[in-house]
Amino acid sequence: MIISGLILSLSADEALTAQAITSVSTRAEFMPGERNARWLPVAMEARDDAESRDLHDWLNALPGVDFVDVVYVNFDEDEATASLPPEVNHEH
Amino acid sequence: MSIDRRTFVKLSALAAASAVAGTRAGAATPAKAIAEPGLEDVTWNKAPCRFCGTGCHVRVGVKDNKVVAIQGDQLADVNKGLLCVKGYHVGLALYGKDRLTTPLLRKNGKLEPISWDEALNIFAKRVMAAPDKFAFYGSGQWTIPEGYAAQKFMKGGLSNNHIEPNARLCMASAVTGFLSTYGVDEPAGCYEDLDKCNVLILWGNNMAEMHPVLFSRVIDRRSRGEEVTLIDLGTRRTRSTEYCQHFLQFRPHSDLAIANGIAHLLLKNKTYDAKFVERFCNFRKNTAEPTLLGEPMTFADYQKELELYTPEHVEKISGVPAEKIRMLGDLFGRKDIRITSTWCMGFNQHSRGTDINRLVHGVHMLSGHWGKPGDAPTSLTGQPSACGTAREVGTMCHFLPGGRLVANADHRKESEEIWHVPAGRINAKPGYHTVKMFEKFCTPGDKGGDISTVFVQVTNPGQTLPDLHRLFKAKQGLADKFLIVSDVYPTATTELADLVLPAAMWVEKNGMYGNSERRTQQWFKMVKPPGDARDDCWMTIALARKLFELGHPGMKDKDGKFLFTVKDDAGKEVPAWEWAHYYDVNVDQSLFEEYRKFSTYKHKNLAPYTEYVKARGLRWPVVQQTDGSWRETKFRFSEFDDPFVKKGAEIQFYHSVTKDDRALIWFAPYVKAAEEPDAEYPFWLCTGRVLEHWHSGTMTMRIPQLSGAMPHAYVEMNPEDAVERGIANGETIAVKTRRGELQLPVWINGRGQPPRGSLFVPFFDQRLLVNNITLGDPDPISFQPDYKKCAATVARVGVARPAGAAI
Repeated sequence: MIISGLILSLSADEALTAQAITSVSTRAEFMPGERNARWLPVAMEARDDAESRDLHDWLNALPGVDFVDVVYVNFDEDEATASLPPEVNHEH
Repeated sequence: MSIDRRTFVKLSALAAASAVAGTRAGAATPAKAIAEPGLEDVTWNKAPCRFCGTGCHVRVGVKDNKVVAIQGDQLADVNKGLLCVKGYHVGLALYGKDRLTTPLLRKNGKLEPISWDEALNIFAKRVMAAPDKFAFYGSGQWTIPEGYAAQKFMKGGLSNNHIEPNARLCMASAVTGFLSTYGVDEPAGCYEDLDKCNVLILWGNNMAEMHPVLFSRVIDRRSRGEEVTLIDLGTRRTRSTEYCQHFLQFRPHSDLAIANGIAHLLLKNKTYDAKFVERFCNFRKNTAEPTLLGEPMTFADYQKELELYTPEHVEKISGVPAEKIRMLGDLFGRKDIRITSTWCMGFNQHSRGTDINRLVHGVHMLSGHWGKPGDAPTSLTGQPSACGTAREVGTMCHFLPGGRLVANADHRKESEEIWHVPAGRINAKPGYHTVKMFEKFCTPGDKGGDISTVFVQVTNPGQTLPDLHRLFKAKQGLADKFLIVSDVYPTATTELADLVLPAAMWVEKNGMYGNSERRTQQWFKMVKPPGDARDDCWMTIALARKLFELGHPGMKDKDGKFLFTVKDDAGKEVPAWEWAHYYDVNVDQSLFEEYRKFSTYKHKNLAPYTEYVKARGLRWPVVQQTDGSWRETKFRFSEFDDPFVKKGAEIQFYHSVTKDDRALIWFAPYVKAAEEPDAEYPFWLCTGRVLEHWHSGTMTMRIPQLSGAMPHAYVEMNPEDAVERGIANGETIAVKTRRGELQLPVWINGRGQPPRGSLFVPFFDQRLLVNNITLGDPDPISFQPDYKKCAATVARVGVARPAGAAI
């Protein structure tokens, strides 16, 4: 389980922004906070790294969202450690 | 009401984000962290991020001796609570499964565990047998105390100047650019220039990927409705380009001509700042054999040299349309705007790196876009302490601490006095610079290879040196050579190591870094290193002690005492060379307070260690005020902020090369690159970094979130070049240069988009070592190799990857 704290920089287009906030609010993975001018704080919960990336990409692509910044990540219960992939040497 | 842990963590994450959103929306930076994630069983402390030279501060959450959470530090001026994708995963860099946890000695070709005592005995005997053939190679990731101890051990102990940081491969041309322009290293401005400029020019600088938090700081101004014009001067389109109003694509190496073209227009249009030039500048050019200080020239000579660089001539050289050169000339000619230029490896890894650094400083001074907030030429560093350690502490082969030189008798004397070692202890001859050091190491002893043992700490030359076959791999099989490597993971360098020492990293030890804007930062050890991994600084002190015990005279001071004598508060000596006692005292503090004595010579004044404990870094010069407080300096040489500028002077370059408080505006002509595309090798090959990985990837490739996002290296290619050769996206192709061949998948229309005739390969992937085929032609003054330009060709070799495969 990966939990992150994000800030969405919202666009100047209020209609798009309102749609974006609604879209975010309807997904269970996100917990939006109180909008502050053009910035919306959001807590995001993902099952794993792949879902975390997908959600991040989804937010980035959302009309009305200009930029996604991350300010907090908790990996307390994460098994996220790995070695390098197996050696592959293509060099001649 | 009780809530479960999951909800609690989510609320903590939301609180952290809300606090930063509030700051962005205009609230002042909080006096204390307003979103302390309140997990009762987690303790929080501050540290600078382990990765790049931006110097973001993170709050590190620790539970049960493990880093479990990372938060951007809202109290930090640098990042104001933000982090990039690497920064918020920095804690996981500690927990790759293959951490080195015990010393390893190569026996019959295989690395086998040995004890620390055995390892140090082997090491010390090797140095004792031939101290003059020993070399020490570190990096801008050395903490300040680590780098200070290393260079004191070499220069003040072994009388041996064969010590270098990898900053030679990274920042050396920025150093020579600053030294030859202002007489002293490092930027005069700071990150606040990014908040104040009207125009930001990225000179070959992909800030969106390499310094994303700084880039975010600029983009954020637009979100607030401020107008900032961004100009990307680049050799390929990058993520940064997407945010820029102007993309000026130039032919590699022709940045020299563009800078000259701007200066030409300032003179021709009489829009240069005559008052600034007359009061604060002299002119200079290279001698026939380029040197750091060159030779004087008159303003009339300078004008004459620039006559050639008309917009049309510059267009012919660079490919940038003449009207765009005029646009740049017009912008620099305006007095109603402020212009900041930034650069990084595009300028420094350049076989005329010193010259292009000089030219852009010169354009800013000629135009008067200098010395006011937002008007600044600013070099960004790639490593967390390239400035603080590699440059300031004096870890290069010709430096002593605080900007002193080994070749200067007065500087040696001052250093010997501070170190309390006998006069004459410091060798007057500069040691080998990095490329020479490894050339000598890879050459048999009976053929002139007079470096026999190299100790590598906190860097990975087996991946990052250019032309690796010649400069690193040639060591293999040479019986008289011995490579010792301290690192946290197995690397391309440990593959050839004879002795491997397991190191502690980041918050597993005390540390201090110095970032791109002269900001010195401090942190405390928060977790224990795994197994028998130990601090790099301890290794140096323990080695010195072994040599002391073996009777090496250099390990004693004038009174016969150990070179690294450390005392506790009661004045009692502490055996810091014994690991069990290393943390009985704060060795970092002891070393830093000694180093601080060196810092006033070039007005790089540092505050006491305890001031850095309280702060999120302080920018030098840090000067004590009458009320006892310590004040940092944001803008050097400018009277309004720099306490060392004389009253009424406005601007004073008080370390002027010409000793008259003036800086130097240089002329340097455009010259061709050492190796340019031709019929046989028709492509330019450029190398560099990517957002997700930090340098050679030894840490970030072990973070699944990052290695998953960018799993392997690739070659970027223009789609038309690919079509012409029948190459499909994802197909494995061979990239060939005169030094070898590398096979890797091609990425067309990917993140970066090179123009026709141009290729880009990142260097983070240990399995796909692009530096096997790079040229590394060095700048003649800084000796920094050029990784951005060589001639290459491509050929189809493989079968297309299945649909949906990575890339």
